[in-house]
Amino acid sequence: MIPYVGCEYARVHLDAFVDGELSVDEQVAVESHLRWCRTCAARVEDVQLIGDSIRLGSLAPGVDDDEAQTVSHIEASVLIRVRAEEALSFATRFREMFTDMRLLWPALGATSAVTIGLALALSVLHSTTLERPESLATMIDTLSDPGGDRNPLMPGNSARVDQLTGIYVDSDRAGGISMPRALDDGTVFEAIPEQDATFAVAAVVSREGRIANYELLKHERSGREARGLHANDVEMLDAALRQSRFAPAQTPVGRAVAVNMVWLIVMTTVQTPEPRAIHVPPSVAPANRIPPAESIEEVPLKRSDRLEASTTA
Amino acid sequence: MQTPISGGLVKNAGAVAWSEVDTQEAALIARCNTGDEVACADLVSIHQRMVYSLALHLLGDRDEALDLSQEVFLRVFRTLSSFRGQSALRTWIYRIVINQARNRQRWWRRRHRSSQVSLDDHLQQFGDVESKRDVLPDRQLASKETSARIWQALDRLPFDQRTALILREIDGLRYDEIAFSLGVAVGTVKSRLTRARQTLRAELLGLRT
Repeated sequence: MIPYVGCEYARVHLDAFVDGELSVDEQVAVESHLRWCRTCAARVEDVQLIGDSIRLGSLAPGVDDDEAQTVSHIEASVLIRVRAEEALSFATRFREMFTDMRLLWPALGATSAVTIGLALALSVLHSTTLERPESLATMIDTLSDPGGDRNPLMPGNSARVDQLTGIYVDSDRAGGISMPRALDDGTVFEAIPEQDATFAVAAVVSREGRIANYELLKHERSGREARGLHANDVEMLDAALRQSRFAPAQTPVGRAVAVNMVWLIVMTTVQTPEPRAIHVPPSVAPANRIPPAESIEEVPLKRSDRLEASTTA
Repeated sequence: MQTPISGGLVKNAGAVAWSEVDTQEAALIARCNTGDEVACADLVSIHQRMVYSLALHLLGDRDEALDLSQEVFLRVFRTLSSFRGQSALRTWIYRIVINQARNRQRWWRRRHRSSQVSLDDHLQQFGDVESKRDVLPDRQLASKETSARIWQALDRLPFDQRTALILREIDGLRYDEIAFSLGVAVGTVKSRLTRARQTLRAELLGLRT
């Protein structure tokens, strides 16, 4: 049974019908529609007429002998160009480079000269772009970064201990900056001979919490100012300072900054006071419970300690 | 409506026909890839008329079409090793022709439009082409004048619509082959053909009134 299709369906499929692109069922359905619908049949005739007109006026080759001759030349022209491309290909040219060895050495010399020249030019370019430490650009760069390792801050004399946090704060600066806080417990100074000694050191504590630069301002031993330090002491003090670690100074927003500070290191030997005799009535303190005063051995206690103070450098 | 059985039979019949051609083409392509000049000459000889014809219809200039044909074959030989048989060789070459023509047609039409060969000149030069072709008696309406008007309207169509119609009407390509040549879907080919024919039909109706 042939299905009925209306004009709407047929018009969608008219082009495919003319082109033979419909399935057999669709072809039969559209064909049956065209038997009684003159409008769609006229459309089909128009489409076929358009195709005939296009084919009729086509500029197809072979209309005359000259053009057929022209077309036949395509083959020869293409083959000639293919051969020419093959001859000019990279591999071919590369092989030809080594056919005449006389050209090889000048070519290698020229290549070497160009390479050396380029290397020299690059090295000069590299050396000129390095920033010299005394240059104006470096100075501007340093000044534009207050609190950097090359431009440490200098706290004022009003630095004080914050009662809440327990750290030194320089309240003169906007918002206040916390001063560096030592992280070790003084063990780095134990290598120094056990004497009463005091060292005043002007130092820069970097953003990383290390002593960057320092200068020994004052040195005392056993209460007397030393006229000079022994070389061994200098080495030990230097090593102790290098090993010291600090929590770096920070701005209120938490940015670590480098600061100048004076570090006062005091090493003291603390001795226990002489024990006092305790007179206890025999009835209250039996003799066997309280050791005699002579039996308490006097043991000197030694402790290295250090105090810190920051002042204006 | 199409039943699965009938549709499958139609498609299988087409596939068998193409597979026979593919075997011959595969041998020819293999020889060309080894640098066999005779095979290259055969390939050009088989397709040169088709390539030149399509280039001529797309560009409308014989010298330009001849130059384009050579470029197309050079490109074919450069890229033949990448051809994987995803279509017939003819369709693949059509695709190259269309891409080359699309690139060339833009500036060519702007600069050399005045030097194109008009259809009237062509017909005057070569006489009545109708007599040299098998035109059915009931198609006598496709006179020279109608043909000239249709070709003038065809020349004004967008490149993609014109190419689809030429591939269909002159080269007789199927919709799927046209789709591959143009690099679009089959549905796009249908819509382009419909729009192109609607435009030409309007020209035809204007000719009658």
